[in-house]
Amino acid sequence: MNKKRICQIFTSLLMAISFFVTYSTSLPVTYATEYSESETWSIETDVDISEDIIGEVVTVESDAINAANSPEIVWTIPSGSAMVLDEKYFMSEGDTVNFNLSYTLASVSIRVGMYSATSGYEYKVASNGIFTETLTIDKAGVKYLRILNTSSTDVQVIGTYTVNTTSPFVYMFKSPYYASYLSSLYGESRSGGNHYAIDITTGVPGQIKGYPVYNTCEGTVIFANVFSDEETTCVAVKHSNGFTSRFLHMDISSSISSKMELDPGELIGTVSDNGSTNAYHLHYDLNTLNNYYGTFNTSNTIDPTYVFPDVTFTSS
Amino acid sequence: MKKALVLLLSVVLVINIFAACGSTLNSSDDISTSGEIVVDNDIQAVEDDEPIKKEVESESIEESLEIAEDEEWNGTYNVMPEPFGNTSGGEHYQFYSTTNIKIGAIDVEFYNLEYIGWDVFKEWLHSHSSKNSDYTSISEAANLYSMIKYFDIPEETVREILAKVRTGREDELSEDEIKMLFSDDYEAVAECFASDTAIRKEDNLYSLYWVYEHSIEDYIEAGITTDDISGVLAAYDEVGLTSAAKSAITAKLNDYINGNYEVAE
Repeated sequence: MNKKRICQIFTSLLMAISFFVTYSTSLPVTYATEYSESETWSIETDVDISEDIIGEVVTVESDAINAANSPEIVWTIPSGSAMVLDEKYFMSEGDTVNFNLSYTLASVSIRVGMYSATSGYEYKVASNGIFTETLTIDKAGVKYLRILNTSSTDVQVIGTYTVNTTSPFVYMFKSPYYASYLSSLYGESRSGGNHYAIDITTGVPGQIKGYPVYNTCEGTVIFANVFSDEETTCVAVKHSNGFTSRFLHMDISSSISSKMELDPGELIGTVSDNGSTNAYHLHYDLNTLNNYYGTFNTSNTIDPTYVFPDVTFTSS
Repeated sequence: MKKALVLLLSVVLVINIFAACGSTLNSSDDISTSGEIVVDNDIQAVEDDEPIKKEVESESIEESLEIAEDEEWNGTYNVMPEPFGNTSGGEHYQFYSTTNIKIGAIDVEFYNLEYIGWDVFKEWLHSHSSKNSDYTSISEAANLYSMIKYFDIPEETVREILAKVRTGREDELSEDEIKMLFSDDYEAVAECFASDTAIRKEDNLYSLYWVYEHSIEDYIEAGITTDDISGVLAAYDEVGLTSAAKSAITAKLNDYINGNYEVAE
């Protein structure tokens, strides 16, 4: 083998190595983010074993959850305590939850159901160690699993449950005028109290000005007014599911009037900065007061992000 | 020939090393972005979310600047702090209200009248609202009564609209109150529709905001007494002022009540 041939082979080898390095690092990225499978569970230590149980809340960690909508639970529930799951879902009247649970000590009873701050606890009683039941929701709300051990001994509960729900709400922004950045979150602390609404922008100051806003759920307009002293505009739409949507600071569409029936997706206005605000945004809240104004709190409002499960909200 | 071959080899090596480094850097960026935003391993979502990530950063910078500009009360109330800080929104109806909700809330039907329209109405509203103007008379500051007068809306039209939008709410106008909308007795109208938190002097209504923004000299000029001020002092606890704003207004009002001020000649 002469020197020229050796050089050719050496060059080819080097080029092959360098091309391999180049292309192996520019291949599509495999998303290797490791997700912690642990979820936060809470134990409510009850003082009074009644339906309206208020007690010290203790948060514990568990790694027993598999999937978002059919989590497997392995809970040891102390006597006289309730355990709740932090995973929450917006559920409407008629939605169902299928339970497939078993628990130790078949001789005792436990209560298994879904809880929400706005509609309370809906449950069924399990009494023979096996609980394969379907719970049908009576009142809409943001729900989470709650199991109450009313017995005098600790009980271990094992199994799964599946939530069957489809939100009746459609998002108020449509492509290409789409926005999902939250400049203010639900429950955010403010000088005058918490903000029980979401403020939506694009994330770029002023960019959302003029974006069309569409109704989110069928209902009746109960208020389409301007608060003249502070210049805030407000459209309130009362839905049949027990909630009322309020849209603030918009330029209200001239086609909107009080008492009119609206379908989801109907234009109600465009984003503006009318009223008490120093930035263009849409204020959106959902309350059970069925009113356009009131003292809002966690027991008469829900976090609107739960009614739009397909929307990925971002915030700082 | 040998030299040329070595030179060519070096050039190829350098190019490929640069290319390799460049693509490695790009990959790192992608991984970082996906790690922060994507929660469902959806590659399409990464592409959609990347512009949002940039927007988030832009807003964050602006917000941090705004926070830096937040006022701390300096102990004097010559220049009052921002009452609600730099929050992005909020409802402060009580703070700005001069009239009650019965005429303080104007239904869209009124400004959607053919001869008014949103743009004209908005211009009037902005130049007459308690928040943005110095009008204090109920016949001039923005409300349904002054709107009817300003735009000369006929009684028949007003009644038609009120009947159309009536839903049975407690805060809707009674027949006697509708009649008041067409009265020229400004003082009586002000007495009928004054907000619970406004200070009324004849036909003038002074909101909590007006009192907040104006000086002790202005109070005296408007005929606002220390008893009037004492009557609204507690209301400032309910409207959600920042702590700096609350300190400033409390100090100013207490100075007026206690006579700790000097009026310029």
